[in-house]
Amino acid sequence: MSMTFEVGEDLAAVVDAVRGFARDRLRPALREAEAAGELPEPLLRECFELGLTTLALPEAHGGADLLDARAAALVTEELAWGDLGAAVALPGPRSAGFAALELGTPAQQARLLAPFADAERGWSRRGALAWVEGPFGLDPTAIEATAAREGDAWVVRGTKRYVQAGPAADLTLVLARDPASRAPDPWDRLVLLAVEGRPEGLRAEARNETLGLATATWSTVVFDGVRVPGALRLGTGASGELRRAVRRTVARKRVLDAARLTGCLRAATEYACKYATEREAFGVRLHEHQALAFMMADMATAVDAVRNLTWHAAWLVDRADPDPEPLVDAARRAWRHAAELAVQVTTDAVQVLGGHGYLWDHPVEKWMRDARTLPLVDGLDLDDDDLLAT
Amino acid sequence: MAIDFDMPKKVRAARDMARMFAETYVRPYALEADVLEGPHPKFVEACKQFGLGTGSAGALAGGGAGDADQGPTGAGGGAGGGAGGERSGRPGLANRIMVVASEELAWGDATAVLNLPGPGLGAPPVQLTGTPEQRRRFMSVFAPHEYKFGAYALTEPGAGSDAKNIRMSCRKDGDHWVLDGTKIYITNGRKAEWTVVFATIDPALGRAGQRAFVVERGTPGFSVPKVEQKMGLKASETAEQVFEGCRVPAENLLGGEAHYEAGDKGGFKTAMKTFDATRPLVAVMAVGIARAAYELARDWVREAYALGQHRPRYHRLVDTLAWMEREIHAARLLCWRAAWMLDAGLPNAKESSMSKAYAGTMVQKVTAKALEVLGPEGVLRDRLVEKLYRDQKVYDIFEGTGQIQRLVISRRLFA
Repeated sequence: MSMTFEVGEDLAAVVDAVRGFARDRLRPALREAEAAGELPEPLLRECFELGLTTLALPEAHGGADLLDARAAALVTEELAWGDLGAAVALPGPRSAGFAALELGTPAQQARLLAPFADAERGWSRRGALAWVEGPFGLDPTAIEATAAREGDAWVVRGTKRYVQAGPAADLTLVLARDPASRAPDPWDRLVLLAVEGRPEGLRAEARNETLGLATATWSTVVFDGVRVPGALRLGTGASGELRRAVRRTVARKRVLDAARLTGCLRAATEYACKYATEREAFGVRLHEHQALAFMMADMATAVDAVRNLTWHAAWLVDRADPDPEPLVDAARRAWRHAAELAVQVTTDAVQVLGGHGYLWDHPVEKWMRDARTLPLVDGLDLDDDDLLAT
Repeated sequence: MAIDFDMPKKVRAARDMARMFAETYVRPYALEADVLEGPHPKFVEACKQFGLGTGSAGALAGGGAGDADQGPTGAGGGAGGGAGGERSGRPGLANRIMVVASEELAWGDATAVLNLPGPGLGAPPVQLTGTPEQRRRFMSVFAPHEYKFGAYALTEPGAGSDAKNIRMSCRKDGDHWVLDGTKIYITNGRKAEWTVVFATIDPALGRAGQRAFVVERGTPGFSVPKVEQKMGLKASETAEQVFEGCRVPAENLLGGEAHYEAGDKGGFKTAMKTFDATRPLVAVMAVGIARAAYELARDWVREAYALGQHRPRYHRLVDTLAWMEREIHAARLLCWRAAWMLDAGLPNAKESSMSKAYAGTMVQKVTAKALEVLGPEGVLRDRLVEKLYRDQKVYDIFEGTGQIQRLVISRRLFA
């Protein structure tokens, strides 16, 4: 049956299990993880054992094979409902995995992705995208980092900003300009290279101190003559190939970010609603004050609106049309709308709790900071909002 | 994996047909109908020719929606939504069909949905509460290819949103009921063949005292003294109905006396159940209006800035258009979900209200922005956006105001 919002029994069971984990393990650790600036090792190992760090990794490479974007969106929402900071800070190939799956040969995929499922060290491995160079979004004409061909290798020089997991990344996909290329389309002048581990010349600066999501790390990464073997260039260099892959990768990340925001908004809404049934003012419980009840009705509606848009975009991911544009549009729509409503809903959650909401005693002030941070922090903004262009 | 937004073939076919109809027989006459303050003759002619009406949903759904319960004309859903799945025990498509078709028609002109012949909002109470005999009798009035209407009368001068406080009285007198009172804001209230009317045996009984009747046109003591002048939706008839010692045959009490003895809140429940089915439909009309406004604004910017992207405001307008499009799609999916729940027989009072609350707010913001995009052109009467702005306001009022929707939602959040 199509045109349906039915989740299905099998998946509902998985979602329930993840929700239980988020409730019992992530939510209670949320403040501690934020203060420490990272998730504690036992929790990371537990996430790895449960397959949460390798959700979108094919079974062939030891992953959970949850490549279905709708399923991933559902699971991601639950993790973020537990703690948005944890959902963002979880190790794993993350978006670098999407890009490798988009452009990598089977041999490259095996080499780059299998280590994330490694029984010994997989639990802490992280993938990273070193794509963005400034606060102006991802613009192919503005990429100054270069990758020059020297013999059988590429030598990368340049500075990348807002790189998640920068200092700790085990796989960094760097986007750089080939100075020898004279291709008319600026996208075709770029190459995507996989950097393994911490080779000579690769240096991460101190982590960015951020408004929210302090559990995760972003930093500036400097490539000072980093040599990348020719075999680790992703893609064939065919015209349009890289642009398509980048747009699909960003779209997939946006879908998951929208799912993460859905989870955070749901958490904030539920928390505010629960508080409103317990706290009394003027002789009645808070929710019996209509000004607050209506606010919470709008919060609950916003959560559902954002989730619907996320599911719609995830469904387009799974349709895998050769033309990425409908997906790019839907993902941007879901992500932007989630970002906009996130501000409203988390701010209102603080408002429902009043002075208590402003304090660290309750998580709502953290969610307000986290939700505002997520859509901005990685700078992965494709300047493609022009619906007039078509 | 189930979550899936692909339209089933029948839904797509209905969408395409409604779109064609809206493009050909609705949109070209929208401004004229607004001036005429009634349906355009070309539209009426086309409705008759194609046999299109609020009773068409059952036919479009090809029997998927509780066909056994539909009248001999196949009149089931309608701008009245079938809630078919609930009756037949298997998921139908009627509500999803109506939701996508209504968006298209409302895109052409919102009054087109209200001017589609058939039982309209009167259908759900007759279908949901009526006895088989009543369903047969009242639905068979609407043969295809005829321009005839049903109506639904709940609101009174003293009770709009507060539906449990209606004052219109009914008392049993032999084999008749006698109705006294006034109903207002009744869509198609003058031309309707019959109207579903809510009254009370005793206001002190609240919801439990309410009864629903089908009052046929020409019933002694029933008159329609006034058709209202409105800001928008001018081509749709909004009438006042007066009942003075109006004698209605006992067999016109919806569901029969047993229905009201069995459980309390019989009449009120009928009214509220109607809303569960109709709110997403009304909400999706707001989506259609907003989409029309968005497209007009987008095309206008495209034209006005074809050679002048350096002109002031261009990038702001581009951003505004993207925002409008997001808002519209968010509202649309809330409507789809509420309709899907109805088709699947799931209780959807909260989700219906969410779709209506969201869409009612959305359409105000989006149409206001569309006018802003056009600037001085936006307020000109010969441009459709001006009419859309007048039409849209009532979507946050009728079928339950935005505030009522938030009450429904919050009561369920804190139940």
